[in-house]
Amino acid sequence: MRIALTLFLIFVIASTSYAQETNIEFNVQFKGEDLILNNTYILNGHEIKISVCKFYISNIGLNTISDTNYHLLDVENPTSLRIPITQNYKPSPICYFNIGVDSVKSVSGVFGQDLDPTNGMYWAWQSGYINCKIEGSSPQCISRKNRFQFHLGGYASPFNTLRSFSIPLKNTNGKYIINLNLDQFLESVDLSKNNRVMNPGQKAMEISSLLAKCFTANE
Amino acid sequence: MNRKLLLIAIISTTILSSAFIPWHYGPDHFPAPYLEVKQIQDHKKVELGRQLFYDPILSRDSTISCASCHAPFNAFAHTDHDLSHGINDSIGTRNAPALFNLAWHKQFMWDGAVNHLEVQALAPIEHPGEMAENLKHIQFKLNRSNHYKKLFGTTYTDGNITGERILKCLTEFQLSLISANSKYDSVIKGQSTYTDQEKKGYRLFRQHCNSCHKEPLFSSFEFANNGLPFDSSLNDYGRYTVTKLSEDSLLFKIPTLRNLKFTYPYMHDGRFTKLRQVLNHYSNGIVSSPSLAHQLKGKIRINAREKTELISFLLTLDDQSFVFDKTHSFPKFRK
Repeated sequence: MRIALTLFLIFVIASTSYAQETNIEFNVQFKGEDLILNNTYILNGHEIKISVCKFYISNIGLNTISDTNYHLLDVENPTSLRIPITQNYKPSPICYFNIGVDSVKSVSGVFGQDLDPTNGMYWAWQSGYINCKIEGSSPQCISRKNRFQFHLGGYASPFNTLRSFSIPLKNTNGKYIINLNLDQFLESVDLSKNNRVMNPGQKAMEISSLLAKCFTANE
Repeated sequence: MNRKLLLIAIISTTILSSAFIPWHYGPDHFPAPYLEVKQIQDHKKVELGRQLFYDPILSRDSTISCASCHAPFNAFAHTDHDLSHGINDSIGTRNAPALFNLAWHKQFMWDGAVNHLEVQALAPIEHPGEMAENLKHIQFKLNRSNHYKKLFGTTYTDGNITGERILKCLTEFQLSLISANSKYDSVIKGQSTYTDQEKKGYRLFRQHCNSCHKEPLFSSFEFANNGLPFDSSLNDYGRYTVTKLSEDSLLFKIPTLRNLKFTYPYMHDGRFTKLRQVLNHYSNGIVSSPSLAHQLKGKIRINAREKTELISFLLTLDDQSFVFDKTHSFPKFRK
């Protein structure tokens, strides 16, 4: 009886207190390969270049939201794509995270570090963060220099572009990987019709939802 | 032994009770501010903010400072111009509002586009027709300045100049701008009395104006359409530009009526230079529209003599001591 109890206690302690330092990595990809900024890709017969891809991640965790800080992920800064996380050992956790800055934060004034307005992710003329910024060019864009500029933001209902995720992940060599498939996003956006959003509103909502579909677990 | 205990008891009670004396921001006769100001202002941050406020380094070509449109002698408004102007003589679409008692405001700009005082400065800083700069470049310029490196070094333990700190110091300076020392305030505090004319004006004010221009701040800081004829040379739909709701068309933020002597011209586009013109608008000039403030749907009957009385009351809201206060005026020692 005593042995059973001891073994039981060991089991309980081991399973609840086994915490592991690991990373959640966001792989920003184009057709399965890591994105190279300003590289010319071909998508549906059209040339396309991506020059900027930055977005905010918040309220992230494995099975539980353990990190409520805001992280600015920028493809130009690869270390920013890796978020350290502690995980209680469970083999196939669900990864929770938000893309964007929530409405409470958005009405609470100025913040520093990743939320500092010097990061170029804050609208000056109308309060609010840009949740995700994707810029580039493609000949199909009917715009100056064939540019596309998607500055997705807006925190006030009914145009709240914050998107929440819960994605089951598998451990890949000691880390957890989420892919952002930009080719899928740019294809679904139809660049010949939509080449810019720079304000909160219906369009930002639609395009944010298209973007949300492009976050997948790394198989 | 007893005496020592008594001494300890007295000292600790004094220390503890001083922690419980409630400190609050703002004058006693004002309501609690909308912005939670949690602690006594750090005078170093206020001073750093003041230096920044009066420094044209905040603009692209170093010609425009905050004070260019928000001048201390005008209660931090822009007088002599109906529409404020910025870099390269660019003329904007609106008149720069006066800056004081800002912790009681709920949003900023005439259309409420800015939701917090800390981020308001970004709007004129980054506007191409105002200061045409960006915060990151300002951070770069300040990092090159020995004057600012020194100031940030004494204000913050790590001395780092960040965008967040630049904006917060500007906020601290603006929070130091409190105007509550007019004749009206001294009457409220029982320290003086109105003349007969002012008394009559006050009565008229309470009858016709108080629902939007609520005492003691003289604004509810909500939005209203006060029936101004539409100016098609500006095409400014006010709050609608932010919310895109048709019921917000032609609504503008209700300004305070304090310090009117110093802050002419009046209205979001500075169309009235005299208070009498403002009152004539309310008595005879209101244009009806679906979003017109309900308080203005009936005719405001007020004759010429009553207008004089009302104006004499409005002049009791002028706070001379605020306008001439050296502590928030141009700093003496510049780099």
